[in-house]
Amino acid sequence: MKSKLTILMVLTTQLGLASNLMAATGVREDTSMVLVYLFLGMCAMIVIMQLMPAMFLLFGMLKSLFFGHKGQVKANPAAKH
Amino acid sequence: MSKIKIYLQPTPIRIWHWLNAFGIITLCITGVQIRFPDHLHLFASYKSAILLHNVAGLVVAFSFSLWFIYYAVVSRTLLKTYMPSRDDLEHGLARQAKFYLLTYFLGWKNPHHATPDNKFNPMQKSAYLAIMFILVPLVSLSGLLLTNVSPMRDLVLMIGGLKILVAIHFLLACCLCAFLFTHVYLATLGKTPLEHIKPMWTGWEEEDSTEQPHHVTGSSRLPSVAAMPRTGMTTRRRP
Ligand code: HEM
Repeated sequence: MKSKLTILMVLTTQLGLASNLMAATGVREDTSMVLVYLFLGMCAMIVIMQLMPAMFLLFGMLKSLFFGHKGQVKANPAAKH
Repeated sequence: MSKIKIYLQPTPIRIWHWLNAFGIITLCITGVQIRFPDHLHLFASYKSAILLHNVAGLVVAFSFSLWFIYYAVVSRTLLKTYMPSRDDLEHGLARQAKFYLLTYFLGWKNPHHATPDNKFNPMQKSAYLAIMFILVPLVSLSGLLLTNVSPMRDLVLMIGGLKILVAIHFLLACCLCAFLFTHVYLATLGKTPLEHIKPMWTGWEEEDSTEQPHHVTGSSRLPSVAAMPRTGMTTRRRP
């Protein structure tokens, strides 16, 4: 958790520095789309992370639908020992 | 002591909320640079701030429609969730304000107990009603008009011209920003700072199974939609 936070902080600082550098060197326009893509990427991350539990549930349901029987047969003999 | 898990925040609402939060924070930061370009240089250029502001505005407007469609069409609980009852206005508001201003600091329990049928305390209901039914639609509408003036020039003139429209948009945005700070502060007033924030991210609220609702009103007397004891496998469902 701590290392993730450190990476995030370093990345944010790098981004801040990079945008100032670009401003100083006159390549201002180029950053506009980068920021937009970063923003949209974060939005996509939010959506994906929120949908993950529903996906896992769906995969679990499909798995038990197709392979559920086999799993139970295997589990029963083990329970006898 | 066993824990009960209550499913409080459905997926579409969580997606809306966090897109909305991220979008509005981005709008506030880019908005400050657009409004005070001589004093603030957070982004490389004025143009990049405007572009990001417009995109964030579109994301917020899109997520707002997700919120509206979910509550109005899918669950059909828009007014039930957000409209304060008569009792809320007469007694609940004062009771909840007393908790936030005084009794929370004395270690008392929150007088409101969130259930899927009655998620918000009277203060939350009133604040969210104003935010979601008045403030966000008006900020979005004024922002949309500012992004694209020519097709709706008559409407802009009717409002009083561009300067008035800009002033209205700015003042409404300031209110939204003020709400954000209050909202985040109040959201941290649980038993732990993340107690209310975690369910907004995962959807599930955890509570002790011995905990009794302190103040239950209306339909919330019904058992929760899906309250699942963590230690067992039984699921309580609405009859
Ligand atoms: C970082 C920013 C934010 C945090 C940490 C946050 C946190 C929370 C939490 C914990 C809840 C759960 C209920 C509660 O305790 O009130 C909530 C609900 C809510 N928040 Fe936020 N919030 C943020 C930003 C926003 C913004 C920007 C808005 C609107 C403009 C907003 C509008 C709402 C609304 C309307 C609800 C009720 C949702 C429902 O129908 O269940 N929040 N928020």
